[in-house]
Amino acid sequence: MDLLYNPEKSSLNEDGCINMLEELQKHYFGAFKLATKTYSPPDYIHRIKRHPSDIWKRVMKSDRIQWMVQRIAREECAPVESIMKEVEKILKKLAFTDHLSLVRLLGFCLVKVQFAIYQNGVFINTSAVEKLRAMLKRHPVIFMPSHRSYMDFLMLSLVCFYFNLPLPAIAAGMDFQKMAVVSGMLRASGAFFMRRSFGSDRLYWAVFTEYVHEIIINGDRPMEFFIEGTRSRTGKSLNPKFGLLSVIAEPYLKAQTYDVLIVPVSISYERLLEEELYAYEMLGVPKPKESTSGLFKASSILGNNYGSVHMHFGDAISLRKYFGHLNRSVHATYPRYMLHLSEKEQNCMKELAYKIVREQQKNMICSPWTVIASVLCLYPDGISMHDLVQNVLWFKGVLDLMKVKISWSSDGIDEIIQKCLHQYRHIVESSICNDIDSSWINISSKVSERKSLYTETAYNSRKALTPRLRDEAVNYIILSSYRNQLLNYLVRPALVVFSLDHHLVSDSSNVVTFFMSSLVKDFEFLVHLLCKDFIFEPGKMSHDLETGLSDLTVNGSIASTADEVFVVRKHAGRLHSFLKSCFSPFLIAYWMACQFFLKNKGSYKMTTVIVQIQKWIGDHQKVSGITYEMLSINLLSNTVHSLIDMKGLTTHKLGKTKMVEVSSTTLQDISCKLAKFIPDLPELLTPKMQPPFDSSKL
Amino acid sequence: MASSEMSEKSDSANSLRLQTISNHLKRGSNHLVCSPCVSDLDHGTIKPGTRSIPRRRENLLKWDGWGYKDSQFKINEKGSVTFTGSRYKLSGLVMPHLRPWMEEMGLNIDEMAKSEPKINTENVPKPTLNEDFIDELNKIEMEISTDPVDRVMRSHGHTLEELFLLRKGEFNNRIPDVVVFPRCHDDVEKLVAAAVRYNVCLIPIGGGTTVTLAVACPDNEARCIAVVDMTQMNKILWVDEKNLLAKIEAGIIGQDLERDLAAMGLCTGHEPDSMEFSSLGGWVATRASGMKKNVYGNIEDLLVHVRMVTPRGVLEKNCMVPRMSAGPELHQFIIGSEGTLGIVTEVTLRVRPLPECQRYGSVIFPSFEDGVHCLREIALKRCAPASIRLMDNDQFRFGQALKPEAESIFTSFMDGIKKFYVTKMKGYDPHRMCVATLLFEGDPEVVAQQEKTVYEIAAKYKGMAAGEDNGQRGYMLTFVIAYLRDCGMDYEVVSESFETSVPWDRVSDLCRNVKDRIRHECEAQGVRYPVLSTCRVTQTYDAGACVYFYLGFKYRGLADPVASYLAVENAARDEILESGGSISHHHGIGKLRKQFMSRTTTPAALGVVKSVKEYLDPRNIFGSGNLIE
Ligand SMILES: Cc1cc2nc3c(=O)[nH]c(=O)nc-3n(C[C@H](O)[C@H](O)[C@H](O)COP(=O)(O)OP(=O)(O)OC[C@H]3O[C@@H](n4cnc5c(N)ncnc54)[C@H](O)[C@@H]3O)c2cc1C
Repeated sequence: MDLLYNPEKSSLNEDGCINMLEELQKHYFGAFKLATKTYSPPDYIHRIKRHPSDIWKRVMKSDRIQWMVQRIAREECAPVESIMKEVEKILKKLAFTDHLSLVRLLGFCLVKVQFAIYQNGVFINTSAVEKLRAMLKRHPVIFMPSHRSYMDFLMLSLVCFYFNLPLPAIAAGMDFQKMAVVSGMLRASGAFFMRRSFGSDRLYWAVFTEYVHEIIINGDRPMEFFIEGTRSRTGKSLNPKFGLLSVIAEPYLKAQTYDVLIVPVSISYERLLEEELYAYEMLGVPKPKESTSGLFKASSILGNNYGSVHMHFGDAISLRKYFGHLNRSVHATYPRYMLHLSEKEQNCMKELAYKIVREQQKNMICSPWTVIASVLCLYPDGISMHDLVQNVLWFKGVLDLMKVKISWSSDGIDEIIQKCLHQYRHIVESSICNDIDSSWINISSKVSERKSLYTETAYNSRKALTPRLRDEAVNYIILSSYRNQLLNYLVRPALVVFSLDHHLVSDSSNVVTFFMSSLVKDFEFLVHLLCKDFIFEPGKMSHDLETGLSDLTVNGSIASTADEVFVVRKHAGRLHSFLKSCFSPFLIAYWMACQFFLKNKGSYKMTTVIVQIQKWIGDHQKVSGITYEMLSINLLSNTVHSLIDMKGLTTHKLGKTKMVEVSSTTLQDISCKLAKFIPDLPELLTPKMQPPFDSSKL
Repeated sequence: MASSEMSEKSDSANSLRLQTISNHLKRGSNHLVCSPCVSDLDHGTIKPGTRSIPRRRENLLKWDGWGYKDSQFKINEKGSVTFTGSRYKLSGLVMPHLRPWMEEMGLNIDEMAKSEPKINTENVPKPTLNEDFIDELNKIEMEISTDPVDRVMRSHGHTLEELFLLRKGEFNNRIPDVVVFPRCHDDVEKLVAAAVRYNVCLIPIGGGTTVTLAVACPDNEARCIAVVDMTQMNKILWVDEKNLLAKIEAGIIGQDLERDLAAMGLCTGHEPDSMEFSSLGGWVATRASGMKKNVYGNIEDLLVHVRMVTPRGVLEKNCMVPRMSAGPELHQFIIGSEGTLGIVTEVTLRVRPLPECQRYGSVIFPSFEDGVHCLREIALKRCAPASIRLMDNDQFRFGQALKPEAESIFTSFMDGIKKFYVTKMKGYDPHRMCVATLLFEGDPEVVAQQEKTVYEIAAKYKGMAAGEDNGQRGYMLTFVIAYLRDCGMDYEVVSESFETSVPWDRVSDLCRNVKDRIRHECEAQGVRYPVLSTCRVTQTYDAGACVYFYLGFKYRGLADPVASYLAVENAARDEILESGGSISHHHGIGKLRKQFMSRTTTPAALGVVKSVKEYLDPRNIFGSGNLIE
């Protein structure tokens, strides 16, 4: 039989994963075998088989659409037929089709590409796959993968195809639609295209909702949604979007389905295809339109090794269990097609959204490179091999204690580091010495040909960074995006460490202690400030604080003595200053933004203000304490939004443009509070000082 | 008996009646009105005026199960299932497919859980008697009994847990201490007065067919409990053919009422599936619904006047009019009061001339959803026949299993289906298709027209006519299903039915959710055998439908089958409420569903019910504890 996947025969690695590519390579013509294999996925028990076009026909006839169309017709005095035409148009743009032969072709190409670029393999936790297989029969399933790369949904579909699971219907962004051939292929394999924002277009919203409900309720296919809304360009998770989640949960809350299972999927790439693309985007080079030719350009990646990919299917979250305490009969006294969720339900939705992101984070697998990158980030001027190894080893120990999943191979640490440095030689250089230990590792200042291509085309705006600065900065941005993957796990203990400083009490015998409660205010401030950059579930502050404390306790840098009293251990310095150094760039960037606004009070256009700040920080690159990664648009945009949330900035509309205005007293206040946490405030006129992380102090 | 009052009727009414009867005779046996599924309604054999259920119920009826002692499902010498006795169409027939079906459910004829042979009077709890009360009743010459068998026979309804206990030869701590048999309205007034004077708890009972623990004695009742057996109040007091009304004593049993009225060319048309054994007062007290409500209405539509004796006095109106506007409708407090406010003694019902023509029919649909859409349109067009029921696929197949060995009256339906299947209906999935059974009643022309419309609508939803026999068997099934449950219990199966009502757009979702929930909960309870989890739509209304579920499983291996069963039923009820269904369409609340009451309405609304109770019965004489705490 040409059933390629056989749970009994496949070889599992120590994490219970199989390497899909390796399994395929066991066969001659693996890609071809995959493309021609028998494919008979399990069926949801209540599914009525139908053609994809029946789905949208049903949508057109649905109560929700009929109701909405009638309403609009009445309110806007428009003929029903023309609104129905509009509905049809929306649906045609939205809907997926179903062509297995195209899927096979796509699968064939994709595997070929993957053989070439993922030379270390594509790993999947198979025990979860088998559980999934059983669940898919019983309930509608929604996959919610993390979103880091274009590859994500191609990947999930390929894996489903390989494991004989039904192919998901993928909610993809409209922008993909512009890629002529590719969009057709994607559509054929189950993608449907939705607008990024629905705004106030109630007809679009109704059509989209009904379309999604049709598929969930009949279980035509599992669905795939990206809870982060868009690809994260920075290696960190993005704050979840709630709107889509409500659409997905509604059929359950209104008892149209028995249950809906949400499967968080963590897709971890050792090296991202888009690493440079993102970095330049962060530096203000406009994102290339997702055109087919753009993708072909991207095909120059084919020669490179992008390492491995880990796809981890998390435990399914049953909405029935999760929302078990909600009384669904509150929806019994009005027609179900009218959208209406109670406040309580909406709050639960938010909690769930955060839970999904947390689950994704929990099961991400970071590569050793992220550890190396974290260390390298602290030494902008380079580090000796010996020190690098020492620091990586120490940091690995810290992460192990915190149970962060890192894919260390069985090789020795030196070998691992050597391999990484080789793989990322486009970012880091090592000067070769006879004595390996003293060879010097620093961030490469070379710019690849392709990189300069970006810079040439895009430098046309007076306000943007100069191409030179961009080229200088780009490798730092890339490096920090790898470090960022680890920051998700470090942020809580780090914020505790920042909060500690001003609340330490030392007794006569030099024992340093602090009260947990004394940290609350500072911790809260920092969480509030950084909640756009890192994931903090609203209202869970004390839990976050406890997690931070326990992470430090596990690492032995603090210990709890009496109720809520902690001792800071003698050797805490290394860990604490390391954590501070990792997060200082964020705090400094926030502080810089404050300075920008305080110096130039007035009113800014929301659309351009971020670039203005970027430019301003760019002008201060020579100042000690200012680093390249602070130029990241993403970081600065988070800063502005956070300052708006904290009322240091206010927004208002001027005609149609959104304006930002400085609210100086509050902003001043924020800036002062913030300054407290920054050990060496950049003196905007002083020469460059020591690197923020100084190992000699340890 | 109705004799004395009948002579008072006007001549014109008499002649009308005679005409109707002769009309029936003229039409020949094909159209002769009868309900051939119900046992004793064969008007030829049982004389009008007969009262079918004797005072000593146990002489005729099972003490530990449903219905007549002589009628039961049994495995015969040849190993096939047969139905004993001679009362039903199915009686004496062999059902060759039933045993294989049962075996599919995991039944094994060697694994039995036989019931105790008889009531063991030694184990019956000793009565708590109130001597003053008994003396008073003796003084007014009320018939009473403290015989253990009489008390046990009136201590329960027909819920699974009650029967399970009986079969084990066990009893609740509290069963009635004394049985009282009032003979007329005045008796009841005296009885209630005595109960109030001596603080005795009263529980009225009619047929005892409740399936919600409504007649069970509350465990913590310390007072003497007198169960008031209403069945001796069974006269039709008068029939008024001018206004088409009949005043009837509340204890009359359904089949006796219809038989007597039929002799006059009339009927109420109220036919709950339990009509052979349930009483008029019970219908009123539980807000019952009959199969043919589309033509005749539910009990609340039929009732024009009612008398109820409460501790505060008699509740009744002083007129018997079709409708009135005078504040909240008093009758609505009485209907559905479940014996908590007083005793219903006399009821005036609307009656109708017997229909001239009655015809069965059936339609098969490719899927349940198609069927639901069809029923919805039939309801919309207001052309529903007297009864229309849509069975799901499991029930459809279960119905097939009940098919008797081919003989005259049941034409071989399955063969017909097969023929259809290969010819026209290709594409009907035997694991998805389902059947609607139809019962048309009325003037021949009207029936013919109705048939035409219904089949036309059905065709729009891919429904195909599937013959009369199939329809008739569907209705028969509902009368024998309770017998089948007893048979199941012999083979370690617990089963039950329950119902709800739900708006049209939620019918399919609710059915699917509840059936899934049942399966999942059975799994959680550790049930090891296949689960029967099936439903049918049994009534249609403008705004929604009534859905009826069957649930059953073999319990071998479970520590406490009843507890497991209850957990499953409660889960199912929870799912019903969550899916937008009601707490009950016609079974009522009793004590079984009381726990869900607070979820179905607001505290203020429950307060209204409580305050009425407090006003009418401040000492909780009617202490059955039904409806609300
Ligand atoms: C196999 C089966 C099929 C059924 N089918 C139907 C059906 O199709 N439709 C339907 O509606 N129900 C059905 N039922 C439920 C049951 O038959 C009804 O609830 C019926 O109305 C009960 O009548 P009863 O005389 O048996 O009342 P009982 O069981 O004796 O009593 C029920 C309740 O009414 C009270 N009550 C009885 N008589 C009086 C009175 N005179 N005054 C005040 N209170 C009184 C009792 O105290 C008790 O609370 C069915 C039950 C079974 C077992």
